[in-house]
Amino acid sequence: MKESITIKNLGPLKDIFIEEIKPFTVFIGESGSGKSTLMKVISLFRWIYKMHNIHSYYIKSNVDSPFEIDIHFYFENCGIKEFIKSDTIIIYKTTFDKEVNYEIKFIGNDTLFFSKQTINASDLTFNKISFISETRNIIPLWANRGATLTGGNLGFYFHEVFKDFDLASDAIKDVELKHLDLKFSVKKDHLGKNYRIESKNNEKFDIEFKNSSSGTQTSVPILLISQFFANNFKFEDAFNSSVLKYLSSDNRLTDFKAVKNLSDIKDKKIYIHIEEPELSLFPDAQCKLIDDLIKNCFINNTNPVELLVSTHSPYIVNYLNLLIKRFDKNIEEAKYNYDELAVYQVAEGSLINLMAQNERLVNTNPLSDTINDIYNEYEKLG
Amino acid sequence: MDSLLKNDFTSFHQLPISILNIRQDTILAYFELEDIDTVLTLSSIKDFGTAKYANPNNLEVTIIDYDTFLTSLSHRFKQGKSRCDAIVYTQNKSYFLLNELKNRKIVDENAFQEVLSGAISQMLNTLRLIKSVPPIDNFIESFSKKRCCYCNKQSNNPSPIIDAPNAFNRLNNLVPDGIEMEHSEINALGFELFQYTGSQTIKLN
Repeated sequence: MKESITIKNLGPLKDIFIEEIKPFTVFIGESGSGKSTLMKVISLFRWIYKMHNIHSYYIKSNVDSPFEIDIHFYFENCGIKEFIKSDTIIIYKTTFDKEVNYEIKFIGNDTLFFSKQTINASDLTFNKISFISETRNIIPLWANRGATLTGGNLGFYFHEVFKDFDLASDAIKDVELKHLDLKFSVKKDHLGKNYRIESKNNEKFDIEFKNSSSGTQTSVPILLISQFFANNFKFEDAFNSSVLKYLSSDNRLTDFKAVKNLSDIKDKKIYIHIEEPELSLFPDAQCKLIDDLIKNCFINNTNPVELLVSTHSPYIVNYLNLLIKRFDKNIEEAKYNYDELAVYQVAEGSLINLMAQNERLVNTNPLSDTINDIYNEYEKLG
Repeated sequence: MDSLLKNDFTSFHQLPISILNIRQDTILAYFELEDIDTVLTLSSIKDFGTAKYANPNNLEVTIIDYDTFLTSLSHRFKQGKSRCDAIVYTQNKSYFLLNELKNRKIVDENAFQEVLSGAISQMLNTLRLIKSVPPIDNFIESFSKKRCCYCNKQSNNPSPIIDAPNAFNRLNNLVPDGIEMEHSEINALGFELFQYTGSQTIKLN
């Protein structure tokens, strides 16, 4: 299945077209360039497509399924409602074998339009979408017993990432934080889960997660959630939860004749979206974190994962070139295939493809400009 | 090309014929271009300029100061028309290049702004404008290799113990012939898009 996205006139995004979203896609760009908006739109439309698949599954399985999505409610949740104008266009398209395709269109401040009422049984997919937002640094405080009891609302994306963090920490007890030489562990007692950070070197310590360094607090959710979805997540459980629960209500099970078993749905995928993985990390740790993220998602994974990342870090983007080189030399370390990677600069409302066409490299120059500016200015001062 | 611009281009747009001298010719095996006080200057001195050209076969190369040409036109016409700095082509019809030079030591009012997309759009707008004139379009189509070349200068290290500019620009040493980038609109016009930084050199083989 190939995904494409078109966005016109949505806040900072004027004219965006990605013909094929690659399994590992990176967006760079200045603050306010629209990286996050783009990532939020892609994740939202992936979720709507997932809902369309579930709806189609019911219909094909002889079960009545009303299907209504109030897109404006979700735009509000995603924080992009203010960007919607009469000339806004969003088109998310999936293509199968270059012939069959499904489009979800939003045009001009209206409702959603689906190119086909249902998805063919042979094209059904089942996906999980995770969005690890930059608000993840609040997780340690929020996870502290009592904080969650206040019932506060910290925004859609925070609660999404917290939900995934909570789910992941039910399944995983320890995460090695090689980029910091630390270990994250989940200890359970009668009051619930207690998150700890332990040292791995000679200076032994064992402290509460909320008291650890800011870089630890922002990177633990990335490794925990990616490891969970790539390895521990059971599509069957999620399928049962979202599909069978609905069927069991109102006695719909009697009419249900499964068009397919979950095992017959070939295209099952985890979509992970990460805002600024580099937050609060020293450059060297940023690179090591990317090593472990790549290993989680693309090397040691049992579930198929696709990764979408936004970053300001020149280190992470330059590090991609090392991952490509390791892949080409077949080195037994974290590595990644150039052909499956896309890096875009979001600038002036559109995208610049930074994948070099004459070499298996990412053009990292846009992130080196600032260092040239600094020393040109330095030279000018004499 | 200078005649096509000064006569056909101006006539197509109903502008007075230009009499500016915007053409330079060279057969140097190596030369560089720099924008000095808005004058496009050619030199054989290494590291003088932002755009570096290798011409090992001593091809006859013509350089047109396109920025000066467009700037000389009426205010009403040039208003809002972004343009690249130079048009460079070989007389044997092998290379036709649009060249945008970004030397931040000179054009420092642009420093700290997003420059890559600006440079690309300057070259794309130039292409669209000159190709809209049929004789110029025919002339361009007669070339075998057509490129938009964005050239950027690398800053010097401030002292031997601080290597940040070199470190951040090391990628460019891996690709001495420039980095080719995909750009659907430029590619659709039959042109390739290349970025050159520091010692990366445009080769007219």
